[in-house]
Amino acid sequence: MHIHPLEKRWAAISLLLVGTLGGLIVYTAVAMSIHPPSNVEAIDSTRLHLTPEFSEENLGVKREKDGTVVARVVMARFMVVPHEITVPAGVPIVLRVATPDVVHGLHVAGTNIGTQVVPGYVSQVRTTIDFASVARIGVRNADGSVTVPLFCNEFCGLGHQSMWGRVIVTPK
Amino acid sequence: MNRRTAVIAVVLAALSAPLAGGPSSHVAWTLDTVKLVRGGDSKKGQTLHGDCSGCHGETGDTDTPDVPNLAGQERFYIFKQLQDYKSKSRASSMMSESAAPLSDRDMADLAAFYAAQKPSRGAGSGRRPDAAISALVALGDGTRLIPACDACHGRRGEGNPGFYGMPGLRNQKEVDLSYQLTTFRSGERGNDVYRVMRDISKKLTDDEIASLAAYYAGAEKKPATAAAQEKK
Repeated sequence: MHIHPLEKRWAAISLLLVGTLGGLIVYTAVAMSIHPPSNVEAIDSTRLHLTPEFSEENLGVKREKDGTVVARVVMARFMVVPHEITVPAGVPIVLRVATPDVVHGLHVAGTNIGTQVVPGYVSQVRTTIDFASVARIGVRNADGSVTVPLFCNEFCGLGHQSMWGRVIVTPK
Repeated sequence: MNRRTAVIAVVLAALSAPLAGGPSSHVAWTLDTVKLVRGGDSKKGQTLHGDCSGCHGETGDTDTPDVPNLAGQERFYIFKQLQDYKSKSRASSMMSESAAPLSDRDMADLAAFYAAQKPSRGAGSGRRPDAAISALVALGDGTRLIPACDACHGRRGEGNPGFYGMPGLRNQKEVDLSYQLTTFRSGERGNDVYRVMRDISKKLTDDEIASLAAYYAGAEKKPATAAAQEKK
């Protein structure tokens, strides 16, 4: 089979490009390890339910001593614990999420909350929810608050599609 | 290591005695624990089973309706339940007493023995599930946020070895299955980490609990199509 020398050269260049990019992916995955982009904070996933922070009773929304609102959530196959959290709009909040099993993704509709939840790490998101933007897509409740869905956006197993929760956003 | 774990378990059990507060289970699936359970010796387990056979039968299966079948059960589940009985995370005076003298290794050996036994029977009415129950089992319920039972318990409840500490449900007894779901719902049984089963069972109706118990107890029987052909 005859291949034109110019074509051979271009083929070599594109293969080199593919190889370099593939190598880069493998290198960064192995040498720099895979971790959530927001916050590198290690936690022992196997003992997650025995840690004070992510114990069953400590999950949910709390106002810390310094006034910040912290929501702690566990994403476990195939539940979001707790199912429902209530957070205020217009004030800075911190979301801390961990998993005892596999990689999950946390997304809250109508907000910029979106993070991978990787076993071995605590994922953390600092944000201020804009009431107008959640009100556009959420369900308005009788008391003036708005409910938006929270869900897993990283395929985690056969029950992935059941990993839903609700975030109730109260106006400022 | 064993003694230290035992001491910790006893102290934790004393602290968590009235079920108030404390983690729902002290079992953590660390690499060491997983290795211990995987390395269980079923021959040693068989010897230990001698004391259990009075209630649980020769191979772990028995006709007594409220005694669960153990033959063929997931080994991680058996290990976890024994640990939870010992630490009183799961309440049963009979089983807590039986589990108290067992070491971690004994529990791993027993788990290996039961896991290796051939399941003998299911004990259900064999009632065929209606469409709603089949959907709940295979797909879950999005509006009530109930995950599919199959997702964790394996297809037709045959278990899922990758899900440490979660049981297979087929070959169980209808009475026992509905009792477990009812006690999870009331909180009487609360050794499910992160309240997974307590939360799910709260969303189930009485009728669903009865149907699910019948479904899994009958799941060992011939598939629905074969049963239907037999009727013809």
